[in-house]
Amino acid sequence: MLGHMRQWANRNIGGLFLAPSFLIIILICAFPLIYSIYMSFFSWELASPLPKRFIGVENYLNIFQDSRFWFSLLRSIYIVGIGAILQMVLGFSLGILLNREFKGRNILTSFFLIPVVISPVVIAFMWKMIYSEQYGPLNYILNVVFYLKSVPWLSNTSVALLSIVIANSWEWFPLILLVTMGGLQNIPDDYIHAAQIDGASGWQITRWIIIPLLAPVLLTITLIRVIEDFKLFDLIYVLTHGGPGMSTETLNYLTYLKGFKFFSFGYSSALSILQMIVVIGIAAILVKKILIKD
Amino acid sequence: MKTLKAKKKKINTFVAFLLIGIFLLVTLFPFFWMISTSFKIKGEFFTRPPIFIPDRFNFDAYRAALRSGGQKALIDSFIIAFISMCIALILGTMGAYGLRELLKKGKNYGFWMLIIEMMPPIAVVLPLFILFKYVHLLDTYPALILGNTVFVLPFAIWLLLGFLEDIPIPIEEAALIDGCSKFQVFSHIILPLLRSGLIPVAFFSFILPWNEFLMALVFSRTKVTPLTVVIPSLVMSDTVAWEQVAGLSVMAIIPPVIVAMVFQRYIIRGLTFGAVKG
Repeated sequence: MLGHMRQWANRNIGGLFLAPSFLIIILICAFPLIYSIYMSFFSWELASPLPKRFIGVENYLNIFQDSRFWFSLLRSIYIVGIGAILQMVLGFSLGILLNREFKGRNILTSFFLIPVVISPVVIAFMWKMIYSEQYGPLNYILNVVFYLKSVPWLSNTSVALLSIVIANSWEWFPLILLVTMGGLQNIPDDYIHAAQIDGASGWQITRWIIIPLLAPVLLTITLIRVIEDFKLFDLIYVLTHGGPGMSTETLNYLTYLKGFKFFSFGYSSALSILQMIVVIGIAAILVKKILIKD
Repeated sequence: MKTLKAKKKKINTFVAFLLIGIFLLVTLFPFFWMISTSFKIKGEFFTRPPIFIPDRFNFDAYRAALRSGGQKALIDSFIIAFISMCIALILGTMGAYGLRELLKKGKNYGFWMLIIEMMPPIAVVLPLFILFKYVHLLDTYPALILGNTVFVLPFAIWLLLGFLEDIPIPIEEAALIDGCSKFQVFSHIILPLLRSGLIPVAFFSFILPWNEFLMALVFSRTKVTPLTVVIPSLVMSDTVAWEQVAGLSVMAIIPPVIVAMVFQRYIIRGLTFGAVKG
């Protein structure tokens, strides 16, 4: 009997080993997601005495008619777009600059690694201190060194969103740096040497050899950044709470507000499902076409 | 001609190092400012011109931050992150091996794991909040550990699948022919060979919950208070205690920074979702 069981376990080791993870993922991920879809078809206001009520796709229709949704989506796109450009330019240029032999190169690189492994909440507070309009070092340096006026980094509706993009790009450009450095290591030295013998300048080598060879891996990491920045929450919560006014309210932040400040669970669920569709759409392309190559 | 070229090269190198220096300055300055602030005494943050380097190393802010919830926050964050890490290491290793055994011929089986990892947290946080409320799990360790596991476990499985791929199948087959059971293959061959893969898995499955904010914000109240909610709470109090915020933040970043610098080589693959195999 015991022998039979052992044999059976041995044959089905795959299922046995996978079962706990599978159950956990079903329980705390798949089930909540399905419940979220279900909730999105209800009018469910925790703050109102009315019970929850089935309303079909009305939440979705309301969302599409709500200008607050469209503006928040635009802000998300702004963060994603400007952020991707900033991170790419900074990370790639530093990668090219560091692509030379010198002592202490590894230690230097590891300094740039710090922002990507620490809590975004901490990063947000570091920048909140730096952006402080009256007492922050940034405005002080602008005043004293560059003779410029103080900038209301977080309190002006037309600057705040850019301030968030700057802090976020500061946090994540090192990731592009790592990818660039990893990619450069894989380019055979012969390519570069041959070009040098032919008299190519550093710029020409970068433009015609390095960029084309690194393009696929840079595209991959850019898509990853697009997905991650679309979900940006911590920096916005700490730096501006979506304000001043609604000037930094992104789609993700609006979903949070609707759910946990206004307690409109149905509406918030519908927003999160829409967000999910966008993210999963990009992620599916990324993962299927690029990350998993067989 | 030759000297001109050499001179040009020298200038190029100089400019390159100058730019690298600027990058380094911009990257490190916020840290410098935070550390400097953490040593300031009450009120020194609110001066103009700002104080760049305080006169003395004053640990008052650290002590005050630890007293006003910081100590409990460090412990709570550690408990949540450590247990999440254990779950990810144990179930993740088993899950990755199981998945590979089941789908040896199937391709792209890591697909769903990565998709789950990339999903917007808010989409599960809202239904989980209702679920946890219903079963009275809000404000407990299990709520935060389970919540973090949503993302940590699939990521661990996916990372480990990558490392499993690097183990040649003939090694396993040879052991099976020699009469090993599949369990013995797993414990005596796979696990030792996976060792270098377990380092990044341990790192990420500890650091993600340690740094996580949204779930901490939504699932915690007063009994369980992770760092990422206690640090902002220091600001919400009557006077903004910037020194304390800075002090607790410094303590919060020490573990990830040290581990990342020591294991730099191992964690690049995870950071880039496999785009770069470090």
